[in-house]
Amino acid sequence: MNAELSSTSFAVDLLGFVQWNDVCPSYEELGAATVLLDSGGYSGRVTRSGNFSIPDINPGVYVLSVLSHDYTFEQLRVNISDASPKPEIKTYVFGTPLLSSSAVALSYPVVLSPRSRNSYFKPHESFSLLGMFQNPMMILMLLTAGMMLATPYIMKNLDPQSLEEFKNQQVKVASVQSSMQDGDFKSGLSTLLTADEKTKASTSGAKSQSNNSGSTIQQRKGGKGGKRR
Amino acid sequence: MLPSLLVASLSLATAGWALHESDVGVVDWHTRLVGVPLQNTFHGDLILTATTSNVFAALNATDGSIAWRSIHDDDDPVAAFDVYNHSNVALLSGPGGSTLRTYDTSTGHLLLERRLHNPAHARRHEIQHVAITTGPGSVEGSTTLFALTNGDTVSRIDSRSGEVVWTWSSPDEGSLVVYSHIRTTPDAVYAVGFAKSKAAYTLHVTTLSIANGSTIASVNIPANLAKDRPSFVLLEAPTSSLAAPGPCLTWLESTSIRAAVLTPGLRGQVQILPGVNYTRIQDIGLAGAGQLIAFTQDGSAHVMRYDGESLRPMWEFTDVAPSQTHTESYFAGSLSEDGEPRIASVYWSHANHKAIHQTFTPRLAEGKGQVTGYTFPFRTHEHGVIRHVGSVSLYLASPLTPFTKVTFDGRSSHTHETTRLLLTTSTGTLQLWKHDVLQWSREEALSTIRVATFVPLPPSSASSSLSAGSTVGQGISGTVLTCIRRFSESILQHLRTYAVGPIIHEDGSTRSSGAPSALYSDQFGFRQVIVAATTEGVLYGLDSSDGRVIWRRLFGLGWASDRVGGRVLPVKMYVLPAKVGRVSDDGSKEETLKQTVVVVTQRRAHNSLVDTVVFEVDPLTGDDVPPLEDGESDASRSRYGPLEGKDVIQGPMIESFVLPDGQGTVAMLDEFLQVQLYPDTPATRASLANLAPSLHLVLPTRTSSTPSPGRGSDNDVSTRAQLVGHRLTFNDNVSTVHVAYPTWRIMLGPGETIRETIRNGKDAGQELSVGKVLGDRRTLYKYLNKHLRVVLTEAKGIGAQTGLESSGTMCGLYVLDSVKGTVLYRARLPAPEGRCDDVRAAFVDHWLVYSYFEDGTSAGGDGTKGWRIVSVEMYEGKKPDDVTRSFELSSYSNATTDITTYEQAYLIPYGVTALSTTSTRLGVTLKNLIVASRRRAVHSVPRRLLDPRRPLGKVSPSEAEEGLVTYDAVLPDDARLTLSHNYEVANIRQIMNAPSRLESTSLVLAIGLDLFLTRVSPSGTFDVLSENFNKAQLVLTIGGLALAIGLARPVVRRRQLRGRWYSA
Repeated sequence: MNAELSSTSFAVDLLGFVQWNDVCPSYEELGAATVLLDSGGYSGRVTRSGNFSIPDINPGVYVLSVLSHDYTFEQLRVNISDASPKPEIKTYVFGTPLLSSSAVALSYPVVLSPRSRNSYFKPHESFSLLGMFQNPMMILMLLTAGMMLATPYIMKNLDPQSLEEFKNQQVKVASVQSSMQDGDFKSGLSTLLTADEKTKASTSGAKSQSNNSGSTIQQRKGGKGGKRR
Repeated sequence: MLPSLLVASLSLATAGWALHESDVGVVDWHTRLVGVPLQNTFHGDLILTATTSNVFAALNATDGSIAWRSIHDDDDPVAAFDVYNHSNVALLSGPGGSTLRTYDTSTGHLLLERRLHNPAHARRHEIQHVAITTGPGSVEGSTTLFALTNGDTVSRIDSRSGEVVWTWSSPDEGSLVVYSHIRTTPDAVYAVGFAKSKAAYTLHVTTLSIANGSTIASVNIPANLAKDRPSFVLLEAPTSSLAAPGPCLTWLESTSIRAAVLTPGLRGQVQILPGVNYTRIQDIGLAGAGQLIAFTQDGSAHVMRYDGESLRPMWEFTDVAPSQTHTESYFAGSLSEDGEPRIASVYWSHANHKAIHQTFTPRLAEGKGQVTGYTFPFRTHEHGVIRHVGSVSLYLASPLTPFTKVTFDGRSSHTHETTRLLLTTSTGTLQLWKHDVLQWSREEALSTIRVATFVPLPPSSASSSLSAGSTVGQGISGTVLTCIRRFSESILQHLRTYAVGPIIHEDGSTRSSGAPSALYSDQFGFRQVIVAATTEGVLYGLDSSDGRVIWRRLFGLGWASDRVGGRVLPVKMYVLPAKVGRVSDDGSKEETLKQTVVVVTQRRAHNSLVDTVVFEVDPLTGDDVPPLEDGESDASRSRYGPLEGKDVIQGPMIESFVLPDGQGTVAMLDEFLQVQLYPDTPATRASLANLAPSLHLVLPTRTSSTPSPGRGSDNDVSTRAQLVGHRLTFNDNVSTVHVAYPTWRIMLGPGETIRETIRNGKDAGQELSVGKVLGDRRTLYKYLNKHLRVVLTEAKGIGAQTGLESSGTMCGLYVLDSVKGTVLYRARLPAPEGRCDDVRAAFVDHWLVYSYFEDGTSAGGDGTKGWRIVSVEMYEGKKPDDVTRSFELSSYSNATTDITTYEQAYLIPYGVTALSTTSTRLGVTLKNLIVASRRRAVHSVPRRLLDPRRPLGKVSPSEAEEGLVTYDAVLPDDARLTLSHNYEVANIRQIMNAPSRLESTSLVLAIGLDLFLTRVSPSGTFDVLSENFNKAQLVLTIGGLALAIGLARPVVRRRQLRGRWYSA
């Protein structure tokens, strides 16, 4: 009995209120909310005026959290010691050590401000013709198609030297791309590339016959486009 | 930065299957409940109710919907409430009425919360010791409240500020006198209670000054009240009387009613009403109007009225005692609009099979009254409990007492047509009758579901060709053929619908349940029957597509229904193949689809006898399934009577399980470890004899054997709990049934008790993947031991040994092999506030998840406080590529203990009330974790975030290839992972899941105060048309291409022609 009395004499009431803000302007919006210390051994409900009080807290360090269905609140650290009658309120970042030294002291009574309102839903994707053509895949497809049509003319107009250069460049780009797709950076690029190249060339060669100059480029481009789609 | 980015990208990816707002109520449903009402009051168009689920709620009387509800914690029970100012309600709750709260009755807004005393210092009394009342008049809109708490303290509280004006405490602190009622008059507060004396209770009255709480008088009234059920009624004087006398204390002593008119000075005489012998007095809610009901010995009831001077009988209801033709009458009183009291009497007539309602309207001016009556068609077979009270040999009819509580709203006019009657039935149903029309009915028993199960529905005849029979168990060629056939069929079907109709999305067909009678599954198996057994003695069949009640059955009480009465508490529920209808020889598929539900229950009769009773029911219709042995259909058995069970064990059951013989035999162990079977036939006995060597049980026991002399001093050992492994044996010399004998024991720590044993939640479906391929092409083989059990324990008073200064309670978690008793994994968890209720665990395949509250006391002082989820995975061998083939390994092999566990703990910002994992038909889809939180929400946690092999440092390429992300202690709290979104899903105790016919999708049912069901696709809905599939886009693209071909063809033709001409 004696011990009980002494413990009650140290017990402190924690007072505070919810600061209505743009996120949560009123009690109607907030709904029923409860302020908890630790796992809920000490708790108090938020009243219509926004106030809450948690009575008879024994000395100790607690984490204050708010149980609200639709709103998120910051957690706070509450230090209640028998030395001072006023609880000590500090910031607390969820997931950090409780007694972190970087905590900032806050005023008492506790002020709780709703941080954000939970948004549970994702919006529907609406269909629009413009949106369809803004899709990067679509743009890529159109570009590829355009290139397919345009390459013969461009090739015709290029001089043989730059054509050779262009071919080499193309090969390099393709090798990088193919290795990226395989997800294997370590294995030798060139060997892989050549093997790849050969198979591709053979399949493409077997399939179609067309003018010599732009055949490889054209085939690869076409193949790429198909893959992507 | 990188990890957070990764997590962000991951959460974005996972949010891919967040709900659309338009899907609310389509893919999910939510039943809000308040619990079985204890006390109801009409308040205008609201019904205020306090329930057994610790909820205080306001229901709309017009449609039965919940206007608002205030859910209280378990340690904060609602004790008393009172309406004041016509628009507010004051509520006392907690031990001894420790907390006062006031609410706005129309909105449910909390106006005030005030602690009156520390709950730890509350006094417990057997009798009511909490009351609240309002003071006379109000000053400037503020009403004075008077609260009686702890049975010995009266406080005057200002309702607006919550200020306690004065407090009066009984000088004896409740040791002699326990106050139970308070009343106020303009000058005094009357506290009336019981004083304990040797043989009986006497009455004690204390009057206090309204102004300052000083004692005016304190008087012991010599009364002789029975100790078992002491009661009195405190009647107030009618307001019409001029003298404004004090309240009238009325009680029953032996057979005569005594009344004492109280004055502040407590001087007066006790009146004795002579002439009539009474058996009982009852407050029917008209104490404020000075009326009560007194039951006489000859079976009638008198309406007694206190007119300010004395108590007199005013009216007599005859034949209110139960008889062969009707049940006991239930009385309820109410005030009509003009403030006149009216009394309703309701009873069930066996002759008419109808409930009869009578209303008594006093005509005070004439000194008379009138009674009018009507019948209403109450369906007692669905809502009432049968209790045999007549003499059995003489009377076959079984009288019914279908109601437990009647609340009556006499406020409406004098005609019957608007009389509202609120019935609380013995099955927890709340019904509002307006005259003889049922306005609404709330199935509040659903808040008390103890066990439940999903039962898939048979496919409808139209879609049976598509879906009947799974591909499992057929040859590859057969599978391919069926696939081709199905594909072509569906192509044809779809072409037809595609051309004309809208696309049937995944959610399209669930709501189209046109005819409720035809119970067929939808195309994807989302529509199933949920069979749920409640502690209120009702078994429900719910439609999983919308939560509707398909059928309800009452549990019969067997022998206990005869005079004794009792309760049926469901313990386990199994879905088993039906033992009937096995005649169909060609339709093998049909046979496998036919299922019955077996509910194993404990029947507690009111004479404290416990029996184990098994009920069997058809899940689709709720019909009885006759047991196999008596094939002839019993004529008395109708689907409208209560469900009759079979008494299997004359005593409590300690364990039950289904024999793995595919026949659906349930085995139950009684206290003497004897195995009883249901059904008990030679065939099932033989089956048990065959299977007995492979059955292993883990039973918690307390050693009762006397400790050996050597350690006799160690008193602890004799009371320590043990986990004992058992096997079954049969010795026909000793017993006629199989008996379990112990094989191994694990002695738990001193003071450690077993809270819960969790089996491996692996469903019947086979595990498709036995391993997990790592990034470096090595394989981790899952440890799939079907004998594993998770045991949760609570150890009290171990502080001395472990050096913990706090409460000294620790929670334990063990994973053990039930064959050998090997402990494979163990954890010691802190118990905040000395309770282990917060430790929850789920175990499936090789994956264990548990949650607890870390209070910072263990392992270093700077530990964070907060909720944790720990994910543990068990793999075979010491390193990757080690194989022990644990799935088929004999449990006696040493290799069963050769495992590697990976574990990681995560912080979550909410408390967990229930955990479960999802399950799908084939087990290909990832298993997400479903968490019910104290926020009254149900969350889904992606499996990838709970991979215990998440690297602590930078993700290496091989780990990235595996899909691992860097460990982050904090699990993202993304609202889009909240399955229950806007719904407030309160006090979830249990989460169940069931696979649908779609591999990607699993049904999740949360059971608690509320019910909530939704669909979850942990890996995305890969097997249905994606929701962003765009028919218009497809049509446009094809159209565009066709157009392009059409345009290009002539051009190409022309060019080809030109090419031929000019090629040379």
